[in-house]
Amino acid sequence: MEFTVSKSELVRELSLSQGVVEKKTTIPILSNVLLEAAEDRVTLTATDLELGIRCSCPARVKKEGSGTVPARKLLEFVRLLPEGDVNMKFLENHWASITCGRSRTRIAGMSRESFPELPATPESIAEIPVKTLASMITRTSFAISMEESRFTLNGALLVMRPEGLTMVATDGHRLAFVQATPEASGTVDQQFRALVPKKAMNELVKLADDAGPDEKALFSGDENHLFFQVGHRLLMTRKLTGNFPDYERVLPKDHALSAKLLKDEIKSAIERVAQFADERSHAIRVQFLSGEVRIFSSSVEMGESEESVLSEYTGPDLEIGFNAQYLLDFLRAIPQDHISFELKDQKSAGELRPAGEGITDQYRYVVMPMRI
Amino acid sequence: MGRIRILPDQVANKIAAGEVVERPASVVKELLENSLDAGATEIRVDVEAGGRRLIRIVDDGCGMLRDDALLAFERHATSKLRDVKDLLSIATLGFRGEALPSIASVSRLLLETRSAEETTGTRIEIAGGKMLRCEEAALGGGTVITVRDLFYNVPARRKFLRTEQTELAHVASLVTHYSLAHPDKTFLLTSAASELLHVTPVATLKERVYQVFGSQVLEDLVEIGEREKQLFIPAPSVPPSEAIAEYRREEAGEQEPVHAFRISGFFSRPQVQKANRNSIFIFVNGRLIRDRLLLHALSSAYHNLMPASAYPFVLLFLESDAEEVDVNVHPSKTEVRFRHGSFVHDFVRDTIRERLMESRPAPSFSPSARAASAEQPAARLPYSEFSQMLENEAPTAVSVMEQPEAALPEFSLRPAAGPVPRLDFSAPPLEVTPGPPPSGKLSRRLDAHGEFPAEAVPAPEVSLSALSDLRPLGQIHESFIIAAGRDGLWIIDQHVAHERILFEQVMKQRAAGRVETQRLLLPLILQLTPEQQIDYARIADELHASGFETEPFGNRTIAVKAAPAAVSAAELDKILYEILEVAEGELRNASLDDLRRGICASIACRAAIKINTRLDAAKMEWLLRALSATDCPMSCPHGRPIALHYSTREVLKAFHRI
Repeated sequence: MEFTVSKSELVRELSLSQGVVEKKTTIPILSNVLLEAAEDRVTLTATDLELGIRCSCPARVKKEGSGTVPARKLLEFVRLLPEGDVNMKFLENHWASITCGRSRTRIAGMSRESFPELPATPESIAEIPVKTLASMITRTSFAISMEESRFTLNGALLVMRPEGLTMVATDGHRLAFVQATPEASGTVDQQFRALVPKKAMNELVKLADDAGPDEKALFSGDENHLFFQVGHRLLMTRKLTGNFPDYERVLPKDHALSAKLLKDEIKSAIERVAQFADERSHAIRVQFLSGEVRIFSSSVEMGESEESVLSEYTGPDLEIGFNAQYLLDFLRAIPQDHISFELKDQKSAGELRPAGEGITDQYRYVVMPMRI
Repeated sequence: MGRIRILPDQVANKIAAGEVVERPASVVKELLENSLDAGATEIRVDVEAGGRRLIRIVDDGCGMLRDDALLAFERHATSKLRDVKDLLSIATLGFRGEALPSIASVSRLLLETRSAEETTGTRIEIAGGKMLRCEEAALGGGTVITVRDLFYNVPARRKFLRTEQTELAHVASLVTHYSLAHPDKTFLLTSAASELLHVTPVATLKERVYQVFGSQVLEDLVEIGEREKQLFIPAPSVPPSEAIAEYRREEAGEQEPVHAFRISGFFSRPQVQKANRNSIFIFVNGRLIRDRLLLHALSSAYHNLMPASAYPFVLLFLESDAEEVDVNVHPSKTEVRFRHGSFVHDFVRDTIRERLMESRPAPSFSPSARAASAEQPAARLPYSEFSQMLENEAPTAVSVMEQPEAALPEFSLRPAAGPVPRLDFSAPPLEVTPGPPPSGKLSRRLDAHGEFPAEAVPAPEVSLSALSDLRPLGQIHESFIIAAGRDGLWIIDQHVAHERILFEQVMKQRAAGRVETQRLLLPLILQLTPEQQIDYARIADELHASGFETEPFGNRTIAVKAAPAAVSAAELDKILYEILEVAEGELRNASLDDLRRGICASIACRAAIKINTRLDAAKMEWLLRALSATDCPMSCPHGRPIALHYSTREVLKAFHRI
């Protein structure tokens, strides 16, 4: 195999593979990237068997073929090369020779045969604008459980329905729910549900950052995998198996009380007060009073803090404990300036929503209170 | 003719022998106690064939007058007790007057004794309870009792004897124990021709422990020191049973009903873990006993410092007024009753726990390296039947093991015992330990180990309080923190360290009733087995107080609605099952306090950072500081050690710089 490719294009595509190649070299071949040259393109594939990415860039192919080289070393080296064309040629012993300007290098590769075969992409189910997808991911993925033991919570639920795309994530203490309109997210005839691992969601956001504003992701799935084709890049991931909690039961039907708040005000206030909350539980007390919301924290070792912000609140006085981190996660994820904080009582879930005009999708964030 | 007869003395003695003389070790015990009661300062015990063929006890005690010697073999004849009042305050080891006739009835016994008041001694020979001879003899002071062919006339009993090795081990451990209780006396134990134990009088218990067990064991021990606590009995109305004691007190001019209890002895650092209770020696008023109350007090002192299945090494001496202890419980006198049991229990538990906290002893490396093995062979004799079996098959195993150890050069990170040039650049200079004060009694003969070396006293006590000024250097395997301190290197297990910190926090919050709980989005439904269901019902209130809001949810199912804030939702089911398991296991009979500790330990363990977690420098520093602030930074609530210490001295030694 031999081909010539532009350095900058090679670097860009290689960078995308870095999040996928295995960091712990348990299986050596998985830290390699597969290079395939055919017609006028070179295709790069990386996988850790959970997640796979395949992307390509135009190349002048002199001789078709394929080979693998360590992904990290290749990127680190190519990045240092001067702008211009890079020539790559695979030798008999799986080594790759790289020539660029006056630099001549040979990298030890491995046999292509040992590289895992990726599943074939089935027919697409839906077309989702990537920017919509990315914005839904950034508003839910923080609520995914970090723990590995509860398998089904290690990802988000993705539901494609005629009414549009829904994404839900939870860790058992809070739940983030986004539902986009059919116009914004595309639509399907038949409902499709799948659990997407958190790692795949992060990679999808990276793909979206690199894509054009109107680009769409062709979404498809087979029994075990999900596929997102964005332009000439394909991300595939294993589905998570198991039952996602019944999120509809969790979403409160009605709230007696509601407080309107300025996002920046409440966010800064919580950030400051939370400095004096318990280091593990991040517990703060939130007091809803007529016309204002007060926040308290205290810790025996460090001290205590109190702050109040103005609010449109007319209900009875109410004090509820919350994990400050959970509240901040939401406040940091939304672009809007106003929020509404909806409540029922001390023991029931609180719900946060962005407020204001121009909100087309439905974003709900449910947080369970603490007893302090 | 009536059917009921009074048994002849012969038969009665044999029956009593069944209770008192179980095995050769019981004979040794009775005779040894007699010698001690006789004020002997030098006691020699010879046994042959594990005591079946021969047991001989030679002492230099007060001896017996001729008439007394004859009387001694009558049932219930004793010099130690006069009337029933004395039973309330038994100060001697023996008192029943049964031992000698019992032993004499099941063996061939030879008594040779001379009291200082008489010019000639007495020799009495008895076999199977029948007196064969009684004559005058020329003897030195003291008493020699020779017991041959034990159980020669009781074949059934002889069959129940274990192997010679086992019987010997029992005898050896018995003599060892008594030698510990009387550091001011000489004990010599020989079997056939070999010397199993030979200790000369020393001034302190510490020296005796060194003589018996060697420097290795001593280093792992913490001395309790003398602790005393007074028990005030306010009740002025005296129950009838106490009337006599009260009377005695008044006679002595003592109005205030005060009883003093004193504890002294040694206990091991928590990392010393024994598989059974054989290393727990409890002496009450100089008498070796096995007492469940005290054993329980010990294990609760070590609770959360040591796994439940492990036992410490403890040498405990409890002294009290004789009236506070009733030894007349069982003929073998291994059990006692305390008049104020719970007071004694709490006193022992609190004292040991307090000392454990104070000393914060740090484990160091190379516990296996047997530096200059100095312990007595008797202390080495394995006690368990199983190891005995092994021993019997390969009788030379011990000697084979011993030989190369002496011959080979020693590769050890631990400085060998013995004088080492004192060269040390660490800040606190080594203390010069003054030698033991010369004892007034007896001329101190040079014993087998030479003088008590200064090295055996651990120089400046390495304590975990030093944790606060440690500087973290990094992690190994993202699991253990390496830190440099004033005196050397420390390795800290990050998970157990954090576990200890959280455990104390959780306990404090729990005690203050300020438990932070996080409600769950969806209740967690747990299936229980019928057993767990019962245990759940029992601990439900405590669970609730600890922050778990649970309620029954149909048959054998519970719903968890909220959990302590530290526990992540993902771990919740595991932790609850774990708590139930603990509740159904060891804690079924335990107190609420133990249950609470169990729950807190589970919460802490689940919430603590795991191993294989990368920590940045600030986090490590925080962890070390928080750890040093805990009450008990030496082991995690489940009993694993937290920190290992590798002293500058050991480093220097390993590099051959000293």
